Amino acid sequence: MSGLPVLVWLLPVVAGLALWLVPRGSLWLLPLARVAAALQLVVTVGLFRATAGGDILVHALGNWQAPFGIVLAADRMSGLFALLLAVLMSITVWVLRPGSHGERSVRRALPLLFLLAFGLNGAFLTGDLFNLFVAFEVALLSSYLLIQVPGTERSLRAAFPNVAINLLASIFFFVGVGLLYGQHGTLNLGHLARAIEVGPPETLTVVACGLLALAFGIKAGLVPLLFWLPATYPTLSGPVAALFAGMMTKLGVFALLRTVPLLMPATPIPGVLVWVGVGSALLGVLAALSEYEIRRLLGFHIVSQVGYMVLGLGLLTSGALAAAIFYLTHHIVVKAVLFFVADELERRSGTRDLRAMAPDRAHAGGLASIFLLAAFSLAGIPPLSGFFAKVGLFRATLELESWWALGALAIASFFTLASMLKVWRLAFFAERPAKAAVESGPRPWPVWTLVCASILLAIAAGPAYEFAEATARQLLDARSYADAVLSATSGVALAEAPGP
Amino acid sequence: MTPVFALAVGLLTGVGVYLLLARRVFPAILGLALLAHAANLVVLAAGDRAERAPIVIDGVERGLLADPVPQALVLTAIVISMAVTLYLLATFAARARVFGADDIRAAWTSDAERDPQSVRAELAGGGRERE
Repeated sequence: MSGLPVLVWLLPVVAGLALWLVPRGSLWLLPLARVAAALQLVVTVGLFRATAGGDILVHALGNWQAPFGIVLAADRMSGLFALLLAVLMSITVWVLRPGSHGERSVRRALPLLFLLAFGLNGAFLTGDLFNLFVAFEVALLSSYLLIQVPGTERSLRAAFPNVAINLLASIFFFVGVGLLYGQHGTLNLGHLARAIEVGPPETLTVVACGLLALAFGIKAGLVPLLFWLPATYPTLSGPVAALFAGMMTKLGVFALLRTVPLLMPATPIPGVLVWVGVGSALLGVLAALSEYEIRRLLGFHIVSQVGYMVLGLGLLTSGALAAAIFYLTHHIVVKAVLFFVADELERRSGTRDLRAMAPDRAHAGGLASIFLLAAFSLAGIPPLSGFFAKVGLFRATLELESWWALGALAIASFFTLASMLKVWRLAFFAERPAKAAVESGPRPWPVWTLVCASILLAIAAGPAYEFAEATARQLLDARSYADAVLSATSGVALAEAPGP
Repeated sequence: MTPVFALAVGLLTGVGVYLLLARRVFPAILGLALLAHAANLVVLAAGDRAERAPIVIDGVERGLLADPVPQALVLTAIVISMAVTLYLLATFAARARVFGADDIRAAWTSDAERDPQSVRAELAGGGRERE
């Protein structure tokens, strides 16, 4: 029993609501948001440290015993995701300023960002399937509103396909949850894992798990239901898009990581996920190659790299899962950097089209070096974190001798590098008359901290990989997760409760 | 009860999918709402098992009581789908004001087909003020 998960979960909602109450035009808005983000970072580091040793922190809300009440359960993966979110949140809040992104949109975006973090943290920390659904919806509703914050024609256009596909995914998710409850009479993840473990899976259980996987796949932007993602992300205002690129699709990946090893190891779903991963890796990168709008291009890259992770998840060995987790950590950091750079490039050159970009070369040096580091890392060039992520996945596929998966990954990696070189050449080296200079925005030092994080991840690849392996082992050990979640009693056990 | 539920779910899903495939936004929103209702009925039907009574004290006949959990789930889902439907209707109203035509394909217009000036303005100033 520990209160730490509750604190991590509830701090953003308190901050978000408080920020909503700040009067219009007040100077307190930004400092308050920054303090809240810093506070969240501190608390989350606490949670990360508490879970890193392998303990599962369980909190029974309202002291209702596990299968009857709702529990929060924080394991290594929860700690890792919450930490990544807190880091990205801090940087987004730091970069988002009225000078560069408009007074009105900053005022509208800040409270919603914290509510989004509330939803995401809820999903990371919950030990209950239905609570996961509710957390998803909280995060999604905030994201729908964040998409409307820029108030442009384009964001209005993008609203419908994004919400429609996500609503459809939510319906699948909900039906899956309902069917699992009908079959097994519980919604607690640990309890469900125990109930499903008994004997070969029944058809209805497989169908319900398939619906869950389909819903998470849509939200992660996997083949074949991916086209909402590149249509939506370019409409967001810059730093918010970076947070979305880092965290929102990873919400789907998180849910898959949480539920597949727990509920679906005996079903055909992991096998399907391997194929879906290969398809996404290839299709995403090929679409990126033919794309000229910078953030649409990066959006297709997200699809491709989520494919890598899901492939690792589908193989379902501890090595492959560890590689997927390491890849995910690296990807969240690097992708956010690339979206920050893309936002700067778009604002400086006044166009989204790479073919028309002509940034002021005298001031583009810092931006170019950030982009180069991040792009090389994404492509997997040796001294950077992407290299270790890819080596891990390649090794995992080699161990399983799945040569076609290895081949697909290699081809996708090659095309990733090719499309990054395309951006590099067009955005920074094209001979074009420079347009009227747009003010060059804030210094990109918060983005440098992310670049440093990526480099640090490469330097400390050994310990980081060990952590990923420990996380993978914990994920695959469904039995001890169930034990930890179900033994969360601190008060009066139900059997001993006084009679009426 | 189950055959009635099954029929209702089939009908709602069929009509919902038909509407969702329309090329206009408004019917698609209605279709999504109907699909959400169908999902609610599925969950109610799947979770309605007489042998799984709520936590009761001895002496109460279990057959008389329904399991409250599916009902709680459906209640939550109704609230969420209502919120999302309202959001969709609000964006539909805003779209209708800005674009006039109610065509779903407007979503996929790329920047290349638009006026470069308006793109520039959008990127520079956080967009048109829309109240």
